[in-house]
Order: sequence, then structure tokens, then C-alpha cells
Amino acid sequence: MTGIKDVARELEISTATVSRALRGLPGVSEATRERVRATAHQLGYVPSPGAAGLASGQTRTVAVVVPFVTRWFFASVVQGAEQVLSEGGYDLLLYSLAGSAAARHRVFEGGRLTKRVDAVVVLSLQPSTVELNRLAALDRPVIFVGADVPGWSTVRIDDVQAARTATKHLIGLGHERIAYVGGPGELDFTAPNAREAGYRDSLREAGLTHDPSLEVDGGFTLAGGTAAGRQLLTRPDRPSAIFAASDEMAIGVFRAARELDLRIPEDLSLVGIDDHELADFFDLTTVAQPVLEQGRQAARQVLDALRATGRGAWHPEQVILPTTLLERGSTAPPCSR
Amino acid sequence: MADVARAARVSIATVSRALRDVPGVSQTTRDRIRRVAEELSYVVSPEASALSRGQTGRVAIVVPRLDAWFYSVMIASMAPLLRAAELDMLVFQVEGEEERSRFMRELPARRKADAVILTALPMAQDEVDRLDLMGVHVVVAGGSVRDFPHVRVDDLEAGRLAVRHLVDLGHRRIAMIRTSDTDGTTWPSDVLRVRAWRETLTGAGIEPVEELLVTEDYDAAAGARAMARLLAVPEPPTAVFAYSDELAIAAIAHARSVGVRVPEDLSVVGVDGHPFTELLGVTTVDQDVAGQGRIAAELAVRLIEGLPVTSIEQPVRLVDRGSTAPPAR
Repeated sequence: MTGIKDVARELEISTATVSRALRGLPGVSEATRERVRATAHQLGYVPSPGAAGLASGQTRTVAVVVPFVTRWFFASVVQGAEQVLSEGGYDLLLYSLAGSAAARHRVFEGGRLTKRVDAVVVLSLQPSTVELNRLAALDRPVIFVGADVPGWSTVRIDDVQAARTATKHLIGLGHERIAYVGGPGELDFTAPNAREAGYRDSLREAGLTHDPSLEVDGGFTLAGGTAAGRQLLTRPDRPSAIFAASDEMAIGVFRAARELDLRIPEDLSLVGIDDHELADFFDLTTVAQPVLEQGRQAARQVLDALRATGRGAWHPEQVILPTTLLERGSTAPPCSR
Repeated sequence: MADVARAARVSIATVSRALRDVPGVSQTTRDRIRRVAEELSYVVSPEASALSRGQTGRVAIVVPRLDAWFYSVMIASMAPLLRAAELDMLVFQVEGEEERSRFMRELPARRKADAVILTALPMAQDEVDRLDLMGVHVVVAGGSVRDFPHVRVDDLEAGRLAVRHLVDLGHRRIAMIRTSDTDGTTWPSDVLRVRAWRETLTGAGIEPVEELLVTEDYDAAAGARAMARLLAVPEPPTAVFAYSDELAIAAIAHARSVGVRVPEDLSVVGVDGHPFTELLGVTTVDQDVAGQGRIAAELAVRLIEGLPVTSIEQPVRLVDRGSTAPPAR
């Protein structure tokens, strides 16, 4: 592999001069700089990012911590973030926790992020106090996506409001027995609690009875949604409508309904949150959230923070992106039975 | 490191040797330096220690996109093995011809990773030639490129299983739908599945009709558009072989939305083993994507550790989930 020495030898100048020329430091004439650049290019010299990082104190790398990369929401946020980061000249280091508390512990508390990255993006996790202290100690920009962490930079939707929109849509259609499929999940997420709160608030405001047995944990997965759907729909007093806190769970409920020969929307109204890429194929009514855009916004905040000259030039920013109710065919007024 | 040296009253060089386990430092001194380093929460800079070791402690995963099921499962299944080997995962998303050609020109993964895993990435010939310049180990997942270590399935066999299943059910007018990346690239999975469609039909005495080979640009609705085109053909097919399950799912959804019953009026089979195929009752050729991801990670780890590797071909199997049936008469 071509090194800086090869470039220096070719031009018969010192490696120090080559280094200064390539890093744009003063003390090198423009003519020499041009010759060094041309020769470096000709010999196929690629600056070592590690070495360049040591000199400038930067790694040009951003860590993205994601609970489950196989879930559509997380994969799409990472996709959006990667697009913006790579345009800005930063690499993305992915820490996929796969729901493992041990993996989470290692990322946040094992000194794993120290000196490896210039900034950290954390997806959908509610950080503990210990984790926040660790992140603060990094002294680098940290952005949370899909979580409400007061005092820190966040990019998210208003989860309470999204859940209220979904629940109120069902109430507005005349439903009174409305079930909720959500769940705490395996890690501490923000969204499940906020969405559950939005559901409960809406019922209370409408003067509807809150029946805790109609709240079922779907684990935010397709399989979990299917199981939750079976549990709710085999009850003799089954609900006339179900609000699932994610489209993947809603699609799971869809499957359970189909197994039980229940028609949607005639026998069951169903609404989700996300606007998953397959929601359209299921004709699923959903509260759409801008997913790619959340990743992009987070990455833009990272770049802004890293470009800010010196301490104090950048302040944490809380961005809340809007959600929209997409009325498709899975919701209708309840059947008069 | 200077802080550690000062606190332990030794030279910086000694600290460096002790923390990197290089000989020439007594066990007592080594222990003392470690203790001091721990007290000062000194963490060895991976960049710095990598430069001295010639290793980065990272594996670069290169994918065309992240938000498709196939790639996210690949990445997710690589993660635990890489983590266990203390390797961090860099992700490069290289979508479309322009980004890919820039990636191959600038080779950003070079010097940043000890190994690169190219994950089902279509490439042009001149891009393939540049892989040698990476200067790192190259592993190919979900396909093969030249003689680089790889894990894949036999795509010819996957295509044959799907098309033969349709032929055996009695279909004669069998279409195929696929998506294009960009011109000038060849991705063996695509080439081989199309070849399987042609050869299996020819082998069964059926002339492959070019009009029934439909290509759409990649996006979530590609399968729906392809199906719309097939249904508009003067003599529409009675069966469709889709390159992927995502295409098959969208194609079926479109067919049903215009009143075409699946499988009564039209049979559809995909490839992948996508979890939604179970939910929706879509017949598929399962290619164990998670298994391929795990093997790819293992190949990368072994190469980095200097261990011998063998390329692996994973078996495929047809899973009949009900979207295929004999043609209506």
C-alpha cells in the first residue's frame, strides 16, 4: 500500500512536508502542495483516517446505538442517518444491542465509546442515570432519537399525541371497547409508556371505562402482535377496535383476526402507528411518522455540533416532527350487533 | 498516557509497553501501571493502538440499503459474532451506481477496517477489479465475487425449485418479476435466478416468453407495478415467480386489490423466507438469511485471526404456504 514515505521519496522532499501539504497546514508553498497532491493521487495514496484522527483529535466516526436493527423503524432511522453522515464525511459505527441488557451495558459502561467516536446517536432507549453520566463524561455531542430526555438533544415525534390521534379516531367512529396492544419491550423504551399514556388519556377524556385487561403486551414485534391479537379476539367480550402502538404489531393483529375469520373493518377496526412500508398493502389505517427524516435530522444535528467552533457554540436542540393520521380501510364504525 | 506515566513515575514508553502486553516490563511494574491506568480511567485509544498493531478492530459491512428486510437481518445476525470477537461494526450504505462507483473509487473502508463484508452488493467488472486495492480481507455475503471467501445459496437451485414447483402444478404460462439496480452491474443472484426461470421452462418443453420477464426499479411498490404490467398482457400468466418475497407480497396485494384471486386465479412464489410470508401465506424458497449473516461474520473473524476459511453454500428449501395451486381451467 502506498504510504506517505513513497510520496516523499518520489518528490525527493521530507515526509514532514508531504504531511503538512496533505493536511493543509501552513509552511508549504502552493506549488509544492499541488505537486504533493498530484503525486499522492497518482500513486494511489489514501490518507490513513486513524493517523489523521490522531493529529486532529477526531475519529470522523459517529456511533449509532440501536436496540434491534431488524425492526423496520430502526433500520430506516439508521438508513437516514447514514445518508447524511456519509455526505458529511463521517463513518457510522453501528452498535446493535439485539435486546441484550449485557450488550447495552457494554456499550454504555465499558468505555467502548471513549476515543472511538466523535459523537453518539442513541435510538429509542430511555437512558438510565448511570448511562447519562457516562454519556456526559464522553464530552461529545449525543443525540437521542425517539426518546424524550430533558436537557439533551432529541429528535422524536410526540408519542402521547400520536397515540391520542389513533385512539380518538376510533372513539370518533363510535367505538367504546377499544383495546391497546403495546408493551414495555425488553429494554427501557420511551415510546411504549408515552403511547400507553396517550391511549389512557383519550379514553378518560371521552368518559370511557378503562379496562386494564384490554391492554396487552405485543412486544413491538409481528409475532407479539399476533399473540396479543389472539388473546384479545378470542375473548367472549372481545373489543370492537384495537389500537396497536406499532404497525408491525397491528399487522400481527391482522393475522390473528384472519385466523379467527373476523373481517376488518366490519368485525374489528384496527389502527397502528408508523406507516410501515407494508401498511399500504394491508390497507392499514395508521398514524404516520417521518422515520427516515428522524435519522436525517439526528445526523444533521451531529454534523452541526461537530462543526461548531469551540465549546458553547452549539446547544442541545429538541426537535419534534409531526405525525399524520392516514385513514385507510382498516377502521370503520362498529357493527350494530 | 502521559498522565499515567507521571502518576506511575515511569516513562511513557514503559506505560505503552505495559498496556499493550509487550515484553520488557516486569510483572510488578505492569500491574502497578494497570492499576494506575484504571484509577485514571485511561482507555487505550483504539486508533492509536491499532496503528501500532496494524489493526483497527473493526469490520466494515457494505450494503446497498439498510431498510430492506434482507440486509437488516444480515447485519443483525453478524452483530453478536463480531461483538464476541471484540470487533466493532462500521456500516457503509452504498445505494445505486453513483454511490457505489464513488465508494469503489475512494475506498473509504480501506485502513478503517480489518475486513470488509460485501453484502449482496451488485458490482460492475471494473469495481470488482478494484477490490484488491482495499488492502483488507474481503468476505462476500449472499453471493460471490471472484474467489473471495463467501457464503451464499445456490441461486440457480433456488430459482429451479420455485419454477419447477409451478410447472409441476401444471402451469405453462409462467412469468418472472425482478428489480433492476443499475445498468452495467451483474449480481449473480439475479443472473442465476433469471437463468433458472429460462432453463427450467425450456427443460419442461415450455418456451420462455420475454414479455413475461418484467423488470421494475427497486422500491416498496415495485412488485405491485410489475403485477399491474403482467395483468395487462393480452394473455396474462397463470403463475409468477418473484425474485424476492417482498416483490411477491406486493404483487399479491396488487392482484387481490384488482379482484384476481391468489392462488385460485394466479399462483405466486417468492424467494427469501421473509417472516411476512408465513403471516400472509406466501409460498417461498427459504434461503436462511440469518444463517448466511452468521457465517459471513465468522468468515471475517477467522480471516482476521489468520485462520483458514472455506466458502459455504447454504441449502435452500421450498416452503409451500398456500399462494400456489394448480391453474384454473
